[in-house]
Amino acid sequence: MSAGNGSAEKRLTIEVRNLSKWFGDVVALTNVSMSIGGGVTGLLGPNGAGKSTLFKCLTGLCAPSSGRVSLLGSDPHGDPSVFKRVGICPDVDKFFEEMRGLEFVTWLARLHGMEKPPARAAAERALDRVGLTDVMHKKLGGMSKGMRQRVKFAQAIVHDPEVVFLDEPLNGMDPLARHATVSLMDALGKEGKTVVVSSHILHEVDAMSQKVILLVHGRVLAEGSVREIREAIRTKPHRIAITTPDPRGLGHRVLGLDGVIGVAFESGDRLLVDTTRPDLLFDWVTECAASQTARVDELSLTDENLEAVFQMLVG
Amino acid sequence: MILTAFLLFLRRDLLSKLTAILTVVCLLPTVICVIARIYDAAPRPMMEETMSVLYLSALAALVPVFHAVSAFHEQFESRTIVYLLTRPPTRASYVIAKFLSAWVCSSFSLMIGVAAVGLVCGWGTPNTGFFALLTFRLMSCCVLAAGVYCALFLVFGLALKNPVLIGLVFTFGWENLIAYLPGSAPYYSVGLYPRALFIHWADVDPTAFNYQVEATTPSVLSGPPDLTSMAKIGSVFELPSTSWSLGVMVGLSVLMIGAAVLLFQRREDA
Repeated sequence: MSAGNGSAEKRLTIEVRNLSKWFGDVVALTNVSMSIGGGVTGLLGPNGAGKSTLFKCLTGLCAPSSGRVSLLGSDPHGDPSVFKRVGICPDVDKFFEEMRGLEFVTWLARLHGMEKPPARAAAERALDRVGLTDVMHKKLGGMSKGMRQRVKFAQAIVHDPEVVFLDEPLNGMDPLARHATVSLMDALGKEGKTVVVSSHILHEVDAMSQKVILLVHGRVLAEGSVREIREAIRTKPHRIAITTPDPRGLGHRVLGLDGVIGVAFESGDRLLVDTTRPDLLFDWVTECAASQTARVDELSLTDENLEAVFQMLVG
Repeated sequence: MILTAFLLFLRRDLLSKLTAILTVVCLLPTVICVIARIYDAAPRPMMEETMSVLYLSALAALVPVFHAVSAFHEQFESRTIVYLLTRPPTRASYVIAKFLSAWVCSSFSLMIGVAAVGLVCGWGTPNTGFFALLTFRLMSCCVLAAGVYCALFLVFGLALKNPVLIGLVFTFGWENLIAYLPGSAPYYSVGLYPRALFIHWADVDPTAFNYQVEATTPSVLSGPPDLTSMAKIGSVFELPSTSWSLGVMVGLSVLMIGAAVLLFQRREDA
C-alpha cells in the first residue's frame, strides 16, 4: 500500500460495508456501502428513501440487520464510548421543554464527563457559535423552531466532536438562520471535522456539502460532487413554496429571475415558484430578507418535484 | 458516569411538576388525620392500622407507577431519548441512574407524607417517642417498597405500550386482590414483603392488612415460603420473616433492574 493511500484511509471516519436493515417485512436499507472522510458530506434522498434509518445505523440507534458500520473505528451500537468524539443533531423537535437553552446544553455536556464549570463554559461557546447567546437563558418551550434547531446544533458540537451528524438541520429556519447555519457547517468541515448532513432538499445539500450521497429506496444511487449530480438534473424544474404576506407582489418580482418558468398562488399567503435555477431564487430571497425589501416567513422546496428528479435519475 | 447521570436526572425529576403533585397526593392522608384528631379519634390505631395500610398498600405503589414508568416511556414517546443514547454513558448506567432517581423522588414524596401523618398523630400525646419510632418504621418500609415497585415499573415502562394504565391495574387490582385470597396466594404480591416488614418491626396486627394468620402474634416463616400451597384453600398463611422479606425485595429489585437493562439494550425505536 502506498503512503498516499495510507493517509487517505486514515482520514476516513465512517465506513459502511454491505449494510442492510429491515423491520419485519419492510426493507429500509439494502446493501449500502460507503466511506466518508473529513469535510461536509450530504445525504440526500426523498422522504422514505431510508435516510433516517441510515442515520440511526450510523449513530448506533439501530443495529444493522446485516453488514457492518464503523464509526471512528468502533461499532456505534455496541460501544457508546465513541460518542465522546461524535455529536448528533437529531430531527426530533422535542426537548425537555421546561429547561433553558444554556441549561439543556450544559446538562448534555455533563454526560460527556465534563465537570459543571467547564460544561457550562463549553455550552456558552457552542450557543455563541450558533448565534444564540442573546436567548440562551430562554426556556426551550418558548423558543421558535429556528432557535430550537440551533439549540440542537449547539448540543451536537458542545464537546468539540470529530464527527458531527446533522439530520435535516435547516428545517423551520428563516433564510438568515439558514445562511448562518450553512456557514457554520462549512467552518466545521474546514476545521477537518467530518460533517454528515441529511436533507431531502436538493438545494440545501448543494449549499452545504462538497460531496453528496444520493439515497433512493434504501440504496445508494449516486455518489459524487454536487455539481455532477446537479448537472444531471439541471433541466428539471423545481417547485419552491414561499410563505409571505404579499404573495402576488413577490410573485410578480420573481418572474423576472433567471430560470423561473412560472408561479402559482395557494391558500392566501403561499406562493409556488417553478424554476430550473433554485439556487438563484434562494439567493435572491435571502438578499430580500436581509435588505428587508420583502418579508418571507418560510421557504421550502416541495417534495413532489424532488420525487420527479429522483424518478428521472432512477430512470 | 452513573453518578453524574443520576444527579442530572434527580435534579430534573425532583423539581418536576410530577413530584410536586405526587407529594401533595402523599400529604392527603394528613387531612384525614387532622379531621380524625379533631373528632377525638385514637391516634395510635389510626397510625398503626389506617395510615400504614393506606401508605403501604396504596401510595407506596402508586407513586412509583408514575415516577418509574415515566423514566423512559415518555422519552421514547417524544424521542428525546435520542439525546441520551448518543452520549458516552452505557445503556445500563442510564437504567440504574433512572431507577435511582425514580426511587429517590418516590421516597421523597412518601417520606414527607408519612412524616406529616406521624406529626399529626403524635401531636399532643404523652408518648411522642413511640410515634417518632413508628413514623420512622413506616417511612423505612415505604422507602423499601418504593424501591421494589420502581424496579418493577421501570420494566413496565420499557416493555408495555400503556404502562401507566397497566401499572395502576396491577397496583389496585392484583396487589390488593391477592391479599384477600386464601392460602399462600399473598406470597405472589410484591406488597406482602414491605407490609410483613412493617408488621414485624412495628409489631402490629396483620389483620389490618387483611392477612389471615392463625395466631395472636404473627406466625413467622423461618424458611423459604411454600409457593405451592397457594392452591390449598384454607391453609394457614405464615408471614415471611424480616430477613426473607428483605431478601425477596432486594432479589426482586435486582432481577427487575437486570430485565430493564436487557429490554433497554434491545430497544431500537428511538
